[in-house]
Amino acid sequence: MQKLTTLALCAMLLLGSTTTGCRKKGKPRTDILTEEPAGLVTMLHTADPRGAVQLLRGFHEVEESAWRWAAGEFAVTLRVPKGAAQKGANLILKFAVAEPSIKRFGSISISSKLDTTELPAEKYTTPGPATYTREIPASALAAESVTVSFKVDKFIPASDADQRDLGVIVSLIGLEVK
Amino acid sequence: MDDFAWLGLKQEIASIPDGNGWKLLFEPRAQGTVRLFSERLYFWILHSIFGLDPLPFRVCAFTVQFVNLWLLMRITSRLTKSWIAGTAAAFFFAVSAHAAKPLAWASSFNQILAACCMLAAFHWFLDWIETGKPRFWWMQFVIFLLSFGVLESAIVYPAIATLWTLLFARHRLRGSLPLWIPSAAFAALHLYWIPRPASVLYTPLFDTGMLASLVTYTRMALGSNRIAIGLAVLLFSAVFWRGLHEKDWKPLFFYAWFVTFLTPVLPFQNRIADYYLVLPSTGLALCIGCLLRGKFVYPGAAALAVFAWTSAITAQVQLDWLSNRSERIHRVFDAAGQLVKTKNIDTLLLSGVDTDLFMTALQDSPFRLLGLTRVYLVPGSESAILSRADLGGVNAYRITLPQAIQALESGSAAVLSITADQVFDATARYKSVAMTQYLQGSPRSVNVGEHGYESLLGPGWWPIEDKFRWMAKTASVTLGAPGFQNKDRLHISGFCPPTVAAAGPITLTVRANGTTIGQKTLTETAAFTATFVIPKVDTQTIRIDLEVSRVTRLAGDKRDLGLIFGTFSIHP
Repeated sequence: MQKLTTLALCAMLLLGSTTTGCRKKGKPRTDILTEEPAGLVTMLHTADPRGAVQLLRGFHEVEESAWRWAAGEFAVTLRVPKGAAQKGANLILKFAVAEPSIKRFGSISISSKLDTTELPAEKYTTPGPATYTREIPASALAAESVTVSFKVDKFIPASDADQRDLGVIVSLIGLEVK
Repeated sequence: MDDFAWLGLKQEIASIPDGNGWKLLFEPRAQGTVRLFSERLYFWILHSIFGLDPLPFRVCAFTVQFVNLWLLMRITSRLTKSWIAGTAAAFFFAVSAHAAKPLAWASSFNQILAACCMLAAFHWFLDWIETGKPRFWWMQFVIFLLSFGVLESAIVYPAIATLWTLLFARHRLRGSLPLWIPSAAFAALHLYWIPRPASVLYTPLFDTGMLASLVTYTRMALGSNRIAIGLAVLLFSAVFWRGLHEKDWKPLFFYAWFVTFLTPVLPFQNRIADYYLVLPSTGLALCIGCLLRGKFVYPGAAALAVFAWTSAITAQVQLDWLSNRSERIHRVFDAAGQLVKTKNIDTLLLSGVDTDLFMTALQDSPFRLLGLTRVYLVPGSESAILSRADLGGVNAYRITLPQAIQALESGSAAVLSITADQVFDATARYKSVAMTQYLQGSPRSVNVGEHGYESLLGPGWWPIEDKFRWMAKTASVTLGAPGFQNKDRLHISGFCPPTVAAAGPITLTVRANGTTIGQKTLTETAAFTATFVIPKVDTQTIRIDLEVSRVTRLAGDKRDLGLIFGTFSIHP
């Protein structure tokens, strides 16, 4: 009888100790397979899960539901806004320069390329939020969508502590009609 | 991780012709192991009967774990004549955090089953020592032999049996010696037959670092925190006090059991895993059980309560981590399954896959369980994934942009966009992204004489021959459509060989999306180029069809041969 009681006690403990990790069982697994609208977005918030497919390369996971670290080179596809093929547009990159980058390098520069059109670089010397803006001529915006790639001249390389290349912290990339 | 690899075993066995699939049950895998019962048969049988339902795996694991608790109680009670001691041993093992993961992770079931085999073998060994009845010896011998198909750590069981007889039943010492024969044979087999794993994770290092690993494992077994150090001090003090003052060396023997069963994993200093502790910690459980007698009952019970509390916290963290990882791949897997059913796809592209998701599941080709073998990462995304080269890396998941577009345009492919906690069908949107990239680059220029452009070639092309290809009577190639300025032309380069020219003029007709855009008549042996105006098209790609007025047959060659081609390109 004592053994049976003890075994039952152990069984309960075993179940208790191994089911504590199953608290999310009531949570629906997923809202999968919501067919997305075909159109691409013009203003791409890097934390927006529905825009994730437009992040071509160089982006890490979303952090704090607001931004992503980008590597030394990163690229996105953007829909060209209406009227931009006639008036031209401004390319906007909203990002933050991390303090460790400035401490380590003193400054960083960001340059970009829209399809094959090279856009000039800009230098940043202070940590914190920043915006990189460049005018895009109408002739470069004839297509429905464009690929924009960015390059950070100095980035924190992957290490044992963090296996990611860390360039800048990006929150938004977009095209705005002039 | 690993579960999908083992779940694929059923398909692999079925795919081998002439009934030879059973050989896979004995083929060294996963660091050169052949765990017939705890991995191969476990997954094969349960998957064959219950499909992908995880419940039978859990039921199996929990059942074996209950047997473990019963065996711990029984062994400790018989050695100490105390049910409290037996309860303490089972309690310690039941609440140990490192035992939680193998109960929730099917691929580490081998640890639980190995503990069961070793405890059962030792239990019958004690029966034999007490009674002298040969059937008990044979029962422990058979289960010891079977345990080689469960976990390689069984190799050290003879050391346990021999040490026990040396310390507590010297008259039975000779009965423990035959156990060394299977262990020696297994060691020889492992040494000469099993290939060495290439990964640095599984490279054995025989140096003083093994002691550091032992200390790490001892701490992990007791909770992996500062309290663990206190518990370890208490434990060792009690073990030596019991030995020195009461001449009771059983607790020390069972700590030796812990160390002995850890020995096979100590050389793998780059691979410290908490679930490796399951089998060794049966020794700690027996050690603690043997200690909890007399004046040690109350302080021991208090220490066990502290241990249970810290263990629950650790187990919670581990299981949350495991649960989050498995939930994510479960979402992706379910989504892929629904896409296969609803869209009748045969190709799946994955966007948003990170290193963790790749290593957790994709490395083991999970989608083959859905009958989906053509699964790829969206082109370019694979470069951000840190994968293990020894497991094949990301190579199996690579696809070129033209191939991806071709699959999407044929309607046979879909795209899943994966974020931290959501999965989207992003087929339409990714198609726009891919086309943007595609139209930017080289796909407007195709060299049919080079490898890599096959996805852009339609029917009617013969295999590459030294930087060129023959076409048959007709052939086609798909290119990115001309730009909006409509100044682009189609440029073709090829060669009219002597065997073709000898039969007289040959006319090449070129069509773009079904509309004839020009002809070129060739009359002599020579390289040729041709340029055609392309009408404005609404599609994002353009199909170029070629047709020759006649075909040629070469001696000994049954192929219909038209002309030889090199490049097709669209530019002003």
